Amino acid sequence: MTLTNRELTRYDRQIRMQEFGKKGQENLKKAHVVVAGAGGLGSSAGIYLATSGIGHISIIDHEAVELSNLNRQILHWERDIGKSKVESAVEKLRQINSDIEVTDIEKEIKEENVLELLKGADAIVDCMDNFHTRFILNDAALKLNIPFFHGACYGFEGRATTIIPKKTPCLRCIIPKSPPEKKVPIMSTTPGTIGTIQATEVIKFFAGIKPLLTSKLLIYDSWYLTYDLIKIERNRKCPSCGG
Amino acid sequence: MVTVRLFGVFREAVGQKEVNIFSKNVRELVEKLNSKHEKIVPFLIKNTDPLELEDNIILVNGRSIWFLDGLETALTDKDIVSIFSPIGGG
Repeated sequence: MTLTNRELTRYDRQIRMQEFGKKGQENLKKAHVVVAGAGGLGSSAGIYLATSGIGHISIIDHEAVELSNLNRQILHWERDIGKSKVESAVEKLRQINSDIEVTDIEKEIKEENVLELLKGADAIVDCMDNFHTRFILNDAALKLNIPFFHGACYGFEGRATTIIPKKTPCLRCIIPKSPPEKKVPIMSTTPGTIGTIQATEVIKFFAGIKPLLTSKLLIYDSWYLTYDLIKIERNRKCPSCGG
Repeated sequence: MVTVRLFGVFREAVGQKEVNIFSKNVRELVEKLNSKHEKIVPFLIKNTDPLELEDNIILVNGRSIWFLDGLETALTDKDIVSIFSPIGGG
């Protein structure tokens, strides 16, 4: 997939990186990435995937923008309160980059529709706010054999890992039990950092740049300003991937 | 000595990011952490008798203890145990 003159100019600063180059940019252009969740993580991941030139981004969410979202969900503004999140997100992403395709999918992700919603996707970015849906996406990624870029936040803390089916531990290898779902505190900037890390992982994956956050869990603590990497292993008894 | 890496509330409760403890298994490690660092108890323990853990993530050399032998997971010198809560916000 060749790049237009406009694209060569638009992405000039990243194409200048030898390890990335035109080939990396062409690979991003070919990719169809699903951003599951248009909240805090989905906002920052979505913005950077769009500015970087991922050729096709699909955003899935079924909720409407609320006032309490605005501290961290930077794709949504005051004027969007009451509007569907996907409509709000897609409108901004199309303005950020009109050279890419952005699709809105206003649906709740469920076991019975997940494969249909992910049709044609080359990767999933986990920007959800609950474990139930995260596990549905984790299992779907394994079934479809596509990478799953996990991110999560609580307060000043964030986590991220990159899951490649059959090669790395899956989400359930690390978190076997679903914790109870509740509204959690989140500092405004935490999903900004984690979503950006997820987008960086997506870009590196499609550009073939290593190392990735595979078989490692990143724990970011912005209170103490530390980044720790924990080695994680596949589990043979994992009910999702069977190690 | 087993190296215990603590994150989030566990780091806060113990006041350190990492501690070293002699333990033959996870049960003994949890008991030692509880007796030495009182503030960790409400985050780590659901019941003391019989010992039951809260739904946290405890990895021994990168593997969840729930896929090993739970509290009876054996520990040896130089093992690395990581303790943190599951977080799911977005």
